[in-house]
Amino acid sequence: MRVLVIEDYPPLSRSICQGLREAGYAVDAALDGEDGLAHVESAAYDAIVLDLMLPKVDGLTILQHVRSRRNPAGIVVLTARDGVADRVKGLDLGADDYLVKPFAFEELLARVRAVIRRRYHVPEGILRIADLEVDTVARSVKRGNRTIDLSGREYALLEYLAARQGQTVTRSEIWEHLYDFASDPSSNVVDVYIGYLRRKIDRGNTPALIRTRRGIGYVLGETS
Amino acid sequence: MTRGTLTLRSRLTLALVSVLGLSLAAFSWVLDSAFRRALWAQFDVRLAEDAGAVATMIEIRRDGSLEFEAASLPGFEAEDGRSYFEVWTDQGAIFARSPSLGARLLGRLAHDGMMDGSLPDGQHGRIVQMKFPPRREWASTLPVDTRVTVVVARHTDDVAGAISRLRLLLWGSGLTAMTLASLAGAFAIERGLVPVGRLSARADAIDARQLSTRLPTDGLPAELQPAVVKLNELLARLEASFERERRFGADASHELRTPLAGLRSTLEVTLSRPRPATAYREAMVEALAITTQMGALVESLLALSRLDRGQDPPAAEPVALADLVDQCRLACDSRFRARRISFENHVARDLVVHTDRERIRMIVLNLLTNAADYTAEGGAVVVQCDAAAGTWLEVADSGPAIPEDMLEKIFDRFFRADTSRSTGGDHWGIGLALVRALCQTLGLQIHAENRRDGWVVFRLEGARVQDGCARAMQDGSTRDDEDTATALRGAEPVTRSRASTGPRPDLRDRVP
Repeated sequence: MRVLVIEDYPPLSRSICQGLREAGYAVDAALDGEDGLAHVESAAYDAIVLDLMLPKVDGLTILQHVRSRRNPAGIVVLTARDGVADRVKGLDLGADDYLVKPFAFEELLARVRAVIRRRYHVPEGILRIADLEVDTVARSVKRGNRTIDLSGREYALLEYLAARQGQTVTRSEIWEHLYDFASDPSSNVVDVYIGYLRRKIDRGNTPALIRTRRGIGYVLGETS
Repeated sequence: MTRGTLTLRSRLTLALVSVLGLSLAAFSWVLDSAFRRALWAQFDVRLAEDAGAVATMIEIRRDGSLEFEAASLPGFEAEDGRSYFEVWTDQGAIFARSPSLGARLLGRLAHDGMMDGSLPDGQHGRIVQMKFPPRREWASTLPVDTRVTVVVARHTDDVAGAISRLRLLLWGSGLTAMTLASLAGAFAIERGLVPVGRLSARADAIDARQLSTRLPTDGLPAELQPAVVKLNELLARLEASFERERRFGADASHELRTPLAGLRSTLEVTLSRPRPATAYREAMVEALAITTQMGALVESLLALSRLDRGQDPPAAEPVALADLVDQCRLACDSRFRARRISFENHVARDLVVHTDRERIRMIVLNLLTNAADYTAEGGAVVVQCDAAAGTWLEVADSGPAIPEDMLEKIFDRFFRADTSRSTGGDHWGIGLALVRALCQTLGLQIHAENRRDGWVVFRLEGARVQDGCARAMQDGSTRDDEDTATALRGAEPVTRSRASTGPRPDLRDRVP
């Protein structure tokens, strides 16, 4: 899952990005509103962590812009203003959640997870595909009674496929949701990781859950 | 109740009753004494007339003997009459007496005249004793040399009774009038003070949360209008001041929340998993930098708050301005170097001003830090003194320019030129606000302006300092002026497309 952090205070931006990356997200950072808008336009983010007081273009304008484009990204607003009116305004303009500074990083993480779940219409933290279970909170995967160990990247790929289970997901979509601008993966990296996942999830299990749509991409589970 | 705590209503009522009471008492006293005197005078006249009437009843014969022709005199007849008389001859014998005396004696007085005395019946009365020549019925040119002494006495209880009744009437009616007038007055005062009561009820309801309330002036008595207008003005000032405080508090807490969030987030993320020592070190360096910034912000906030409260009058000590500028430059040397900004100090070396050293240091340091942070990279900063132009200190930087509509706003507390700010990082707009507040305590003015050549100038002006400048300038000003002019001409403004890149990228001043 890919997250955009628009926050103009560099130490805060740095630590949020680091924490999110370590939690398995692909993260891009924008240090002002203008840069943030450019990012929003150029990539499909699953979640945006948005500071309201931003230079050049303020957070509320970005919020309006994102929602007017029907961008489905879940938005967690960060603000130093904790007045009720401020909260209401942010939520009215389409923020999914609201966090007042200073906050516990764990809480930010939980909220980002929650807005992404909502964005993919997953009411619980656990995604189920046949006998495969993906626990997005514990970041653990089980098939039947067997726990499957996945690397961070493998988990991220599976989580994204699981969130869109039954849908054909193109390579470029996978690419966009798994890698931030800073990463520079080789062109066949998606196929390589799909291979790893297949080995860990489908080998020795029936039915095979990951199927290839030739020339298009992949689908996890039964086609809806 | 002490006088100080008396209500206005009580005071007015008390004053009204006192004045009314005194007037009525004085009036009654005058009336009482006038009537009393008149009654007694009338009584005495009647007593004298009675004596005269008794005297006409005594006739002297040709042989010199006296004859009493009793005639009816009301009051003297009956034994229980209220008037008595005795007629005494020169020889000291009682010649005639009123039937009312019966067997009792009236007696002669020591001398003629009127006096109060005891009557034969033991009661109080008034006595007159007069000498008369007896009447004679034949013609003679000779004067009558015989005299009779007539003593007439009468009970005074009638007069005393009349006076008592009069007094009763006077004081009774006075008291009644006073009571009625006091009640009417108190009622009128009560009615008159109704607007005051209404006002105080409205004022009572005003607290810190309702300072926008104003007291109504419609329908108020003219005497109260000016006071209410003044009160409303006071409320307006209070409201503005409270609003300023409230915003300041909100802004201050807001400004502290962001670095606090950065600090907490940095520490939490770092501690979330085991890391190599270098990662911890980096986090600690970051945390230290944040706490240093926060510390500086808190210091500035406290300084502003102290200035707001007007504590500590400024000191007046000799300050060598050029040295001070050098010291401040050293304090923010790393900023200048990091952004490759050149610096020139053209303040006359011998210029000494008398002012508060610490405050002027904070002003200069903030201006230099501001210039170091917001002058475009590779630019220049020039500090000079231009007494001829009425300027004490000028901190000029090579820009970019500040948008004209923000030249004043940058001195507002927590002002953010958000739309034009580059990604700076430090975002608390308190430094220039502190500069302005400090300047005010020193009697100086600070302004920012965009020069035609694209430079941005922060200019410090003030009469007192101009004097100081002028004094020092007398010695070395010519050279300095020339130097400065040369320096300014020579300092080529860094050619950046200020017009094309738009406004100054970051206006936010920084806490040193």
